[in-house]
Amino acid sequence: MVRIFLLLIFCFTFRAQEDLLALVGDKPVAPKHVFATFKTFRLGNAQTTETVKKNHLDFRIAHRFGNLYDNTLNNPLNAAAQNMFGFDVVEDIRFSLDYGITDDITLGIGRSRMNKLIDGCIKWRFLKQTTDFKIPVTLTFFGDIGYSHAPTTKIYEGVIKDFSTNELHRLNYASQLIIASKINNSFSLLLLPTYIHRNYVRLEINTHNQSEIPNSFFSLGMGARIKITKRVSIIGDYFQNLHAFYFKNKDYNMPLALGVEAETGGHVFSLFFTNASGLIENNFISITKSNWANGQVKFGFNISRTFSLGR
Amino acid sequence: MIKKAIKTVSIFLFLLLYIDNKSQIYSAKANATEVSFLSEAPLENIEAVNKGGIVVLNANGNQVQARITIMNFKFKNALMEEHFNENYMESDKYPNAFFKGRIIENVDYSRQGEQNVNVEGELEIHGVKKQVILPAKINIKGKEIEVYSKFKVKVADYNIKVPSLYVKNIAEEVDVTIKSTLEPFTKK
Repeated sequence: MVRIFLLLIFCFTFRAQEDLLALVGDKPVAPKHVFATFKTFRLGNAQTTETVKKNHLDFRIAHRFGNLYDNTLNNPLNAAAQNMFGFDVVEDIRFSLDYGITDDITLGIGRSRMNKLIDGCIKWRFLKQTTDFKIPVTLTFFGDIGYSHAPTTKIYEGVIKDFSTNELHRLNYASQLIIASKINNSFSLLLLPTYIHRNYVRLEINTHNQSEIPNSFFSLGMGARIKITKRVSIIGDYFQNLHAFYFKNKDYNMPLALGVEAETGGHVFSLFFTNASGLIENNFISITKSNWANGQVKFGFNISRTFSLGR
Repeated sequence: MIKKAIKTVSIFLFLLLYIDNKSQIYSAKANATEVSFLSEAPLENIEAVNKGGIVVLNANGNQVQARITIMNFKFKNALMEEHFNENYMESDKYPNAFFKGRIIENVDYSRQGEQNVNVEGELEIHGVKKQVILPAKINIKGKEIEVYSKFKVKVADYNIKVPSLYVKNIAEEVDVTIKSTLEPFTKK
């Protein structure tokens, strides 16, 4: 009988503090996929797995100033002061527009000063990291076709031209598999196996190992972001070209970028130093000539503004 | 003999309570719950609408409970939405907001039409629980009950930090509106 009374009391108390949500079968929802692995579409030089959201248009201006310092010059300090530590020099400017067809597919066009390159690109995020790490990475494909509208004399500059001019010589291609993992809230990692192809290259030889400049080669990029506050992060990325021509080549170096990224509401500012001049994969992976060791470091920034269309 | 009678009555009461309990529960119809908020600040107004929520009412005891999925707040600007989830609400850590409370006044559920009530209870946002009293309206329409409430949420009360740089963009107090249509709950 005592037991039945207890049951009754239980029944009353149950009624007083009942979990109605559980009773109707409602369960709290936790996010399935990781979000905001990176704040924006580029880290420093490298692409991230992020894409433009559906029906949004991202307008971006990327800029590289000249070398801060260059100890290969006769009077480097004077030269640096003369051009205000590179601020008077423009290495490259790129304007671009990227549009989100869906939340995972982005189409973009851009125009760079370097090599007078007009490029069209596609970015497709086809796998998303889950919060339970059952899928530990996010995968995005990035493909870019560049067309140089430089004068023909510039394209074939210094070449003994025993062949006919070919419009296809102006094209180059970059394809990338972007692998990213948000290890925790403040640390994200990036790995970028890349394939570069250029339809035409002017002959150059690496005097260290006599290897010729390749039309196509593989490159491996890597990058990381460490958040120091909710809105400010330290960013860095590096590419290593996997072809003999680029090993110990006195004329070519590998692009390295280090800097900070700050988010202010609708804007993301990336401010960093890099030895790369180019602003698109087709340019900076294959043609980075400056060297950190010589002080040939450039200040760079990317500013983007995203507009919401439709909806 | 007496023992047996008490036992029978108890079981009867228990069953009655149990059945009673079930028959008085109203749960939100599918996609009929909408939560929105408006932040009015000198530089910009920010609005977002959320359709991923549920409201449950137990007419027998005037209990009300609600839950919303924070990630379901939709903004005009997707970047803003991402920053809302990432920096302000920390939706990966605190994916849901809850309300658990009761209607203070006695409600006549047999009377059709609108009644103004106050709901007292615990509001949980961003992992912080606060005791609140919210003004609400209940509109009984046949078998369905429409609920509506509009109230202010002070952002700082729930440990949501707004950097001083954005005080002109984000209001200290945000207007929250919740509306839902409930129907008698039947176990599926």
